[in-house]
Amino acid sequence: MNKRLQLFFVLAFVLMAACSEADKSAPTTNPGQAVTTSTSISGSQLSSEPLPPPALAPGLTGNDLLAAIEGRWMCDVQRFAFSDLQAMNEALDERLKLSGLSRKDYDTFKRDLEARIDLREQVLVEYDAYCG
Amino acid sequence: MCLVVATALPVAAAPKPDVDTDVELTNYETAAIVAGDSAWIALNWHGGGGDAENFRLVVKKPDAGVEVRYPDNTATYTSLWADDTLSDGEYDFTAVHVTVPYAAGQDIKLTFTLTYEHAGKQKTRSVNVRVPVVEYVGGEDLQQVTTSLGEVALGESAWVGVSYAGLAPRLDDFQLTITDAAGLPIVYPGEGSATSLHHNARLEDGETDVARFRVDAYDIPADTYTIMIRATYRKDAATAELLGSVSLVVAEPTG
Repeated sequence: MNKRLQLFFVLAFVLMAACSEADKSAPTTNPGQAVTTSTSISGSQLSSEPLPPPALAPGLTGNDLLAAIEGRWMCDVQRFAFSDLQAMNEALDERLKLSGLSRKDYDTFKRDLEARIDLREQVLVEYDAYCG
Repeated sequence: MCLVVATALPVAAAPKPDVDTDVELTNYETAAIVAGDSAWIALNWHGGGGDAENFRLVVKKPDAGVEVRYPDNTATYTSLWADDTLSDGEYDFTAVHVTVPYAAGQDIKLTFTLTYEHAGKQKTRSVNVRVPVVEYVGGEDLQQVTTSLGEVALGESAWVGVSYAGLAPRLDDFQLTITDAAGLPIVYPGEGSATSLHHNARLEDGETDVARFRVDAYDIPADTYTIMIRATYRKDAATAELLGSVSLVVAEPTG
């Protein structure tokens, strides 16, 4: 198969997987999403708009998707009590699988994070947007 | 009937934010644990200035009956999930296993000692973390964790939150409404007719999430108010509800 065609199919698959992840995790009825406990009330705090799904922008790369997954994972993990560490690992693996990614992809991404401030900033943006 | 043993401290009385810019703890309150149970919980950290290396967290002497242990590979301490370095701008978490005694009648406070190396210097800090405790009652789908909303100054508005811990595998379409505001002006997010959980409308087993609403403490007497609340949710095809109450103090402004 033509290499460009192969690349097209790979990217299409990643995009479809991203949609799947987004559909699962994007809030449907979440009016509290943008609300904080701040005593100064602003218009944005009253927003009931759900967050846009992650990694659907044009020019998507694997790292964009992983940064979105990482930002949400780091937010979600602190809200859960896990029966064992395996359960914690499985929770992450499930998210990766839904996006068509593997733990190997994630481990590579985590190594890249150490070297690249831009990736860490991407995670920060996603974390802040998702975690509120 | 819901038996809530958790005496979550009011929002306003939550531990003070970590002001150290090298390393910031992002959750001073963890997921809830059922009394008599044990679970792994995560403390999430954010690096703020250069690498924090050899990152180690150890609990100080916990209260009687409370046990804390660490992952097998480190055994005597816990470190970060990915490795032992928190880079500038990175998020990572430390996992600790906490066992709560059956007799725990209130939230648990854990004090941790954090050590790391930053710019060639050894740093040691102490952090306090609150672990909400809920009581297991057979057949319950969820529990209300928060019983006190803390204090709001007279003449001000404040967003307050009621936390819930999931006990059933999955509850959907969670909504919280105020059934009796005791005369307090209440506003839901988006000027809606109800509020939901912060992250999404689903509450899962082991998850703790918060539903927020705004209190406009104008033109009302300074007093302690009891607000009646109703949480509704869907469990598979069936809808259900949990009734409860929270207290709120409206206080005269100080100073």
